[in-house]
Amino acid sequence: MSLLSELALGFSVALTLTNLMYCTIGVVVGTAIGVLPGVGPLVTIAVLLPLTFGLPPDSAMIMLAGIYYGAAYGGSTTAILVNLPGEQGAAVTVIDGYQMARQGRAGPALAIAAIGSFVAGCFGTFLIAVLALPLTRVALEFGAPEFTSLIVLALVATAVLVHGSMLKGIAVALFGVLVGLAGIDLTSGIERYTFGVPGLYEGVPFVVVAMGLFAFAEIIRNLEHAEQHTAEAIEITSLMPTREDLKASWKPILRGTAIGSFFGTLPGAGQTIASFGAYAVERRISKTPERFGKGAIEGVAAPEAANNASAQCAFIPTLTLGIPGSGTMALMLGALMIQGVTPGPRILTSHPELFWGLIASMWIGNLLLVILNLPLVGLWVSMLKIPYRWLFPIILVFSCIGIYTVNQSAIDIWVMVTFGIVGYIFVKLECEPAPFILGLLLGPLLETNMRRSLLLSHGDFTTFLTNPISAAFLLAALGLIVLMVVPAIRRSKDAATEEED
Amino acid sequence: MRLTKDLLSGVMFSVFGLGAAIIAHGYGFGSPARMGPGFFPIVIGLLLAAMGLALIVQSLRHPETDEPVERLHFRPLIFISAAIASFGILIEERGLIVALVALIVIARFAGREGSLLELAVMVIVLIAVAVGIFVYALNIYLRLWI
Repeated sequence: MSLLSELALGFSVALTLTNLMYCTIGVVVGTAIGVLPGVGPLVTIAVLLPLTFGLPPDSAMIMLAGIYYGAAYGGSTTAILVNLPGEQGAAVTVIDGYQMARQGRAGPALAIAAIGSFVAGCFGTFLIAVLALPLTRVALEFGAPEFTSLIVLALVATAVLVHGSMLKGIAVALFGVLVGLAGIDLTSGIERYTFGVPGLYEGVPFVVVAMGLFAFAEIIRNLEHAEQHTAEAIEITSLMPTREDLKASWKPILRGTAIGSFFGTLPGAGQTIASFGAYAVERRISKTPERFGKGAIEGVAAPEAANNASAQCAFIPTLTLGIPGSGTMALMLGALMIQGVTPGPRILTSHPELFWGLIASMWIGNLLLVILNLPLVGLWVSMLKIPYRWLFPIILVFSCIGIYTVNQSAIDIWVMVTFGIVGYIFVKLECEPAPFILGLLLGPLLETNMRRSLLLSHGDFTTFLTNPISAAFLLAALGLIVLMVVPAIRRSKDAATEEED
Repeated sequence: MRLTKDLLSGVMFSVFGLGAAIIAHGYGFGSPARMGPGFFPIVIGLLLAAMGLALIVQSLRHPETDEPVERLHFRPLIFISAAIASFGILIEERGLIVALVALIVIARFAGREGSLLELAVMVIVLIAVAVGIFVYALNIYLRLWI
């Protein structure tokens, strides 16, 4: 089938009344989450996952995706208006966005951020649509050695590029892999790491771990400090950007989109690095770099575009290869698996309506974001006044009921408390939890593929190096590690991720 | 010796890694060509322990780069854990509504702010919303009372 007929199929799925509704709910909830500081997209998706189990797979994915890119979009509003990044990707927008707002140009800053995000979102979605078929065709040729090395690359990239120490990142990922092995080994039928708990035979429940690690730990961290009262939001006078604003921004938007698409497609790089990269490029090539930090519109346009483009493009490896590039993407993948859909290159033939429906819904969702968000800015800002002591019980109620309903089992609740405590220890020791969730999801897959490769090569480990594609993946993983050991590059990564928290 | 973040993470990862490898030793190692169920966990466990060891060495050789662990806040940790645990027990013993009341009320003690009236309103509103969404809108089977 050609791309056009595939897209027609996608729109026929995405434009049904129910799916339009779930898309709208997703982007609205996502934007709200993006606005609220202290509630990130990872937590939201973890908490709302169980709600989607009753839905058909396409509706579930459409809603979760809406939450995800809605949050990437919503974070900029608070960044500009109250000097607080609602989510990590918006951290760099704060610099010039808030300065613009203080100069009375909050409206144009918001509008440019919206336009930039829209352009980037559309391009990102377009890229997924175009790359999906060729990429899956390549991936279908992959055998066990290629997949083994690809998983290693994804784990290494996420572990190495995450905020903080590389050693800790890798250790957390390995820890996740180990926990992922708990349960009955499918090849031998032997129980591993179940400690006699019957609920663990089928493995540690993914959603439950994610919820404990992210939601629980984040609630405790937020409660450590007395409530902070947010600064007053700046009034918006006019939304319309001037002709000069548009003229100054269209090139940065395109450059930001390109940079964001690149980093989004790479596993592990993520939105923060994309938006900081785009900002740094704009400042470097600007004829008047001294304006940056004092309200330069390019400093809003480029990182916002990069942020959204990378959020969209993160779906490329997730959907076509079944290899997620970030913690949030790992959750989306987990959601798919719970729905009974096996992610990976076969998804295009086995579930075309799901895949193309999701892509079509992203276009619709991005349009909805522009239409909804600019008029609703006032509402978003008023949401900032909600105190955290009202928010965390809501999160707790949803996550507890959600977890209980997955298996109707109280053991899951105990697993969540356990991993909540692990998550809190991670926070205290400055270990980022995202690689853990990736390791948890990919660990069993890594073992299966490695076992198969070695079986075929009669135990010869060079099979991973003599296979050219596999060797290239391993080389890339090694290259990333070497790069991070070079002090100068490590410093710039630290600068790019330091505001992530 | 100072209790620092890298040092403690190193110790934690080494212990977990070694422990996992030792437990997996009983599963059967097999050979690379025929990986036993213990093969992969042992390799990963030892790698994890190696990472932990590297963190310890790094922290001891460059103590200036390692920060001391911030104070642990036991109040939210204990009350949130207790709130979730009571929910887990009560939902099987007493049904959803009692479990939710316990969850919200106990969690309230994790923070320090807010009046009793506010708490009462929150309990009522959240139970109504939760029952509305899960029981009526999503048709999930949950016993309200036992």
